[in-house]
Amino acid sequence: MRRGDPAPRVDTAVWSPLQFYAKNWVSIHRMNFRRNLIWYLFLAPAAIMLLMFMALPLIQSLELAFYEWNGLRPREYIALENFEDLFDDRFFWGALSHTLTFAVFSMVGTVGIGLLLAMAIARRVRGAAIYRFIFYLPVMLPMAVTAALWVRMYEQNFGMLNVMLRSIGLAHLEGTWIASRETALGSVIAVAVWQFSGFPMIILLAAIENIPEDLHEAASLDGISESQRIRYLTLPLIRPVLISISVLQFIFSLKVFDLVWVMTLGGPAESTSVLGTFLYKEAFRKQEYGYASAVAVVMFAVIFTVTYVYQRLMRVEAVEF
Amino acid sequence: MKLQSSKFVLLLLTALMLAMLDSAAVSAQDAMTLRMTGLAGPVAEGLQAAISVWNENNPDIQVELEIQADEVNWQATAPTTMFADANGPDLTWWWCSRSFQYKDMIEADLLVALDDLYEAEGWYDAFPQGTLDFYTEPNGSIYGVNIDVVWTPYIYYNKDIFAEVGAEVPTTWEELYEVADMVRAGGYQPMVNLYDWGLVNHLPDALMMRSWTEDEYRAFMLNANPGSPDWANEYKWTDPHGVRIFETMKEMVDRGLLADGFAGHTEYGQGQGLFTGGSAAMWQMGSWASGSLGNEVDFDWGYFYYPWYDDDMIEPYGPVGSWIPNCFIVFNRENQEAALKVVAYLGSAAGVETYARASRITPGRSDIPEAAVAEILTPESAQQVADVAAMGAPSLYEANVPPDVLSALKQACDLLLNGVITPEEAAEMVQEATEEAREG
Repeated sequence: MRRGDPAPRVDTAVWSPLQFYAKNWVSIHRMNFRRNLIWYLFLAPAAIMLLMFMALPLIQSLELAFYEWNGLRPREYIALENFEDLFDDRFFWGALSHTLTFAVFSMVGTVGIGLLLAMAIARRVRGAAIYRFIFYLPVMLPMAVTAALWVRMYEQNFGMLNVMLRSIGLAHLEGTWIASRETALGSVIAVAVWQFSGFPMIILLAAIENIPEDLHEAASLDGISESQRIRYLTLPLIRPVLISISVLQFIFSLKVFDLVWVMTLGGPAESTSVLGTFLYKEAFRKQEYGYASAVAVVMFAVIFTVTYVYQRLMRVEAVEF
Repeated sequence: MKLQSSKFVLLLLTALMLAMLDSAAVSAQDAMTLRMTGLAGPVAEGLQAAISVWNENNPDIQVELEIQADEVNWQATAPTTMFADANGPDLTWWWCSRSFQYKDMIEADLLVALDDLYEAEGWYDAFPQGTLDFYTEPNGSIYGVNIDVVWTPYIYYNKDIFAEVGAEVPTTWEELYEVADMVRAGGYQPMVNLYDWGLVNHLPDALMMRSWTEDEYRAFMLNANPGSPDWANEYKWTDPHGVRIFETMKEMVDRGLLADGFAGHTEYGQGQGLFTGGSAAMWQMGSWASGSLGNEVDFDWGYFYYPWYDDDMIEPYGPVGSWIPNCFIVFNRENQEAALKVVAYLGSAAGVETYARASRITPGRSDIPEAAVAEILTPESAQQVADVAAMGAPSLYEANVPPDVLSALKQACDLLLNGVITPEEAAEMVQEATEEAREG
């Protein structure tokens, strides 16, 4: 409410809060709206962008899922047929399973390695700042560049990985990596872990450094070992951040596309096919836009569910020092 | 009087300025700039050379080339996004086949018919009848002009490695597997290839031409399309001749013909690097490679064909398939008249020759003799032209089927090569996709 505005007419003769609200809700909301007008204005550009580039395409995609369409010819309404076909499609289930596998292992790998690195750097090892920079460096690389780089590293004849294994006498461990369906998904996950471990490291390092020094001192006075310090002090105190970064990493991994597409195109034999590449192939290789939209709807539902669970978790988790 | 003369001078200056503005506007209008898109690599080199010549000689119609580096994504998304957009390019180089939505673009009225251009430029006599047949739509119109032709697949081989291990050019499948064993024993990799298009696509094409009779082959190219004639539907992928294609592919993996890791996803450069670097003895590739191999390698090389089946019932009708859909198309937009002039040059004998010299791809016009091809490209390229003239080269399966059928074929081959499904299951998969596509 701005200075000089007339005071809202509020009837104070009634005593029940509910009755009070019922009788004066228009005035109360008007007053609240005026008071918050500036914040609504701040939110407006982002809200408009979200509406244009998220909500509208989402609604269009949902609508398209009920049609058969090749992108150029007129659409044909086919009700739920795309969804029925999708749930009968073994390649869809394969892609969903690979997506979840990718998300779980890359989350465990990135957060696990990130945590170890953060704890090591937090102990002020010599050259900590350099390590922090080096481990964060891959995060800054575009994913397509990382993927192209690792395709060459994994190359079976002259790739750096096999050459290195040969040179240290471990030729029996040489593999065809992304060219074999047994090792392709694991090889792609390893690249994701390599690239993104630096991100949880930075976040967790900040959380660890945020633990008050007197707690450490008290723990030292109690004579606890390093492993006990990690178990009973560090981990419980960074737990909310740990959960938060894990879920974010999981959601981020569910959306994987470019890394897999550049490295394997979802192959060999669909062994690295994830929902993103499956959707792309259906839309742009088979020109089945309706079917691809049905995939997008399912993908959205999965990510939405995980995000919802994350929000619920975040409400109950809080640590005060 | 003095004031009047100054007014007169002012008026004169104003008139002069207006006239200059007007003439500037006219010249800006005259110097039109067209947007053209094309594929990176050899095609881009050809296009850049031909368009440079055009721009030099035609200051009033300048062409701005936009090269698309990501082949896979461009071919998958351009028709429904870039080309369908009102602000899209005026003309483009494209793959004018059903599998790349060329027919859908015609149906959607995105393209300009080139019938008058064919008549005016004498192209009905300059291009082979097969090309004209391929490009003529059921309504009698032609919407694209082809300037190059490629054939695939050939097996290029390193003569030095063959001599070293005592191998001869194989003529039967058994001999081919023996060569692979000899090459491996000599410390080299046998055959490399490109996976996504080569192994799961051009290889089955070659096997189709060997396993099916000519009638069957023609029928199969039709029976994947909506509204195909009844006679074409008599043949099935699950027939013995269809299953044999997949059995051979599986055998190639089982008998070690493919280089290590090459039954899975590989990039173009990986196979090329191993062959040109002298580590692999054979390279499955198209005719475009013969135009450039001469400059890239320091060993003797040659080419041979996949063997025929020991089957007297099949009369050979071409050892390789021809890909003629590479073409120029003009979009139905404001600048189409100017774009047609550019295409007239690109399809002319001079335009085709300039393109061929720079791209190292065999020219598609039939009025360019073999000797000229040998001079423009390599003697091996000229030999390939002569081979096709003598033995024929039917249109490739991939140039004739809808995208979902081609995709199903590639997926089935991918699963088969990696041991996930059997040859019979692969045949069933493609047959199912074929029937679905036929039902529209």
